[in-house]
Amino acid sequence: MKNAETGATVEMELENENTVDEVIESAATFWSKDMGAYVLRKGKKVLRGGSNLGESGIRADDVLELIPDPEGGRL
Amino acid sequence: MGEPIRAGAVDQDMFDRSRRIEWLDLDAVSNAKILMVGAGAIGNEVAKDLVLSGFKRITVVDMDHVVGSNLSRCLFFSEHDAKEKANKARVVAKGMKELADDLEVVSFASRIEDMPGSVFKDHDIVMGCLDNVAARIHVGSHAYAADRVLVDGAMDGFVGKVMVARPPDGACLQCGMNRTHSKIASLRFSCTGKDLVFHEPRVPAEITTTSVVAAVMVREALKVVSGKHENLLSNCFYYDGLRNVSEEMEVPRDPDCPVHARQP
Repeated sequence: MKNAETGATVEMELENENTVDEVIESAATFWSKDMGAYVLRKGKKVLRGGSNLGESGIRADDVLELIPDPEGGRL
Repeated sequence: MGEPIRAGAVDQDMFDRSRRIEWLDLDAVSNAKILMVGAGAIGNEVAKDLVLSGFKRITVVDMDHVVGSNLSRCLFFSEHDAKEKANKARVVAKGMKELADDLEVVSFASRIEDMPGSVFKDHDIVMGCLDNVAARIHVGSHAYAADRVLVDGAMDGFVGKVMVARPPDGACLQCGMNRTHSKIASLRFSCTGKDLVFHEPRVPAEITTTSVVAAVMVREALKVVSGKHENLLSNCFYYDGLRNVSEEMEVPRDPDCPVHARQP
């Protein structure tokens, strides 16, 4: 797992049944991320929150990246 | 015989240089009806770029008023507007009109949620210049249901994002959301016991990222109205100004997202 904001990486033990939502929350907690929206991507593809890793085609040794999803723009 | 040509005429035409871009359909641009939701930082930049690109029919919606902290990123706002607590949509509309006198611009000092749902169908393109997930969900779902292209921009510090949602087949904004979005959307609302209060987030922001995001948004709108669909962002443009990186990301259509799950 890669933290897009810092470049830090961490290895995660995951099962096919783990959902993308769970992975995002675990990684955000591990890196003490601010409350905010984040997405997980593999390569150029954003992974669907509710899908599990098996459905998303994630394999062992794949590198997933946690990136912040910006929210602002009006204030 | 046609109109006589005049020496130096090319330098009198405001859009002469734009006309030299072959694929740009300036007639379509001037006839397109644009709904701009949000008239803050991104909204100011989008408004400027829309008018200077030749868009002539624009509706601006924002319920908020100008404050001093807006002035570092908002071309059309002044200290006087902040002192007077002038409505953002009204100030932006006035500023746009000063850039192009023949502009047909209408402003509404209103929340988009309080506007009639038909407002989406009444326009050709929706420009999302918002600052929170809850408003994006509203605008995204209504624009998609009305079969209107939504060009949505967002930023946080030096990170910016533009997403183009193209119904009926493309991914919508909610296809790219997950549980973290739901959490922050719910955090924006709290019950005081008497009323429901909406907390608006104050995120880091500066003008250079705002400008990049707004420019990409208006460029995509130009492609939409000019029929340059093969060159539209297929999904999402992601920009990291700190690292000088930008790239296109794929947001797959999610048949189970709240918007698509409701479709027949």
